[in-house]
Amino acid sequence: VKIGVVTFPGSNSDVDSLNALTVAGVEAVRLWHESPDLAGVSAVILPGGFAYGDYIRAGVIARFSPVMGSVKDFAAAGGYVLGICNGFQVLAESGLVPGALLRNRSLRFAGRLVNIKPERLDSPLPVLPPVRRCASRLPTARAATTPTRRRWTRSSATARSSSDTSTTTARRRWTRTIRRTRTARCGQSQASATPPATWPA
Amino acid sequence: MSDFRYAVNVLPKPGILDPQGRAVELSLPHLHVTNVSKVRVGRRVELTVTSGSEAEARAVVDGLAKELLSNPLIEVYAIELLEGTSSTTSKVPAL
Repeated sequence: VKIGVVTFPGSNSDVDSLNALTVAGVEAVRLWHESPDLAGVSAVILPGGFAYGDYIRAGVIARFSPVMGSVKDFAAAGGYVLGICNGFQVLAESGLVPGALLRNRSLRFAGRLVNIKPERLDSPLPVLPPVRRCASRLPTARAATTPTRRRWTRSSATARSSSDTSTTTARRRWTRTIRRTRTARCGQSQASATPPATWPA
Repeated sequence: MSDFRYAVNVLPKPGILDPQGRAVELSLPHLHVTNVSKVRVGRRVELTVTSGSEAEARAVVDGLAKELLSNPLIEVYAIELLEGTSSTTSKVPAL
């Protein structure tokens, strides 16, 4: 199994992701934002950070980078794409997940443990053994969140359709890597992680 | 070819929570201002388009405003043609 991690200008957890993949026994490949070549990977990770300086809106400039054209085609063909933190914002701006992120209501950075649940069990993420065992509570750190219904007025049609499809799991802006979460929550050896059998060949 | 100078004003949609606007509003009592309300904070982008016609130039700005400068899910934008539009040979006011 070969998994690619995209580096945008301003990405800062790309190396963490590459390390986590290596520890999990997966072949990790660096992908560069200016190259549309996905190197034949089975899945793509968009890591955290501040792609293109978070200018205009976080993630929007990254959306137009050459690599994202390929990532969109890859996703459309059924490929797996994981967006972590800023990578998730890139997914939202690219239209690969519905909705948009707004600044926290408090305008303050929020870091806390949150309860999460997998929305889909046919996705490979919840079946990763460490995630299945430990992911009921994850540390999150975020400056922006996908709005829930109470953050919108009821008069907005967009808000309604967006909140109807809201998910708990993916829409947090994660800045901790899975690797760190695993250690903090479970206190187990990173090496015990095994790649899932369900990745596409 | 002429240069057309535009401003694109982006604001949060009516009804969308605007924490920045609210923060500004909450600071007003510190300035002893009591008659200001409904503050919304947005973004203004100015740009010059070199084009054969104003309609063509405006179409370019409109595309940019939709795709890049605003997010249609949460924001609205308005395009404004600025004074000082001129041919490429004359000087456009520098920023």
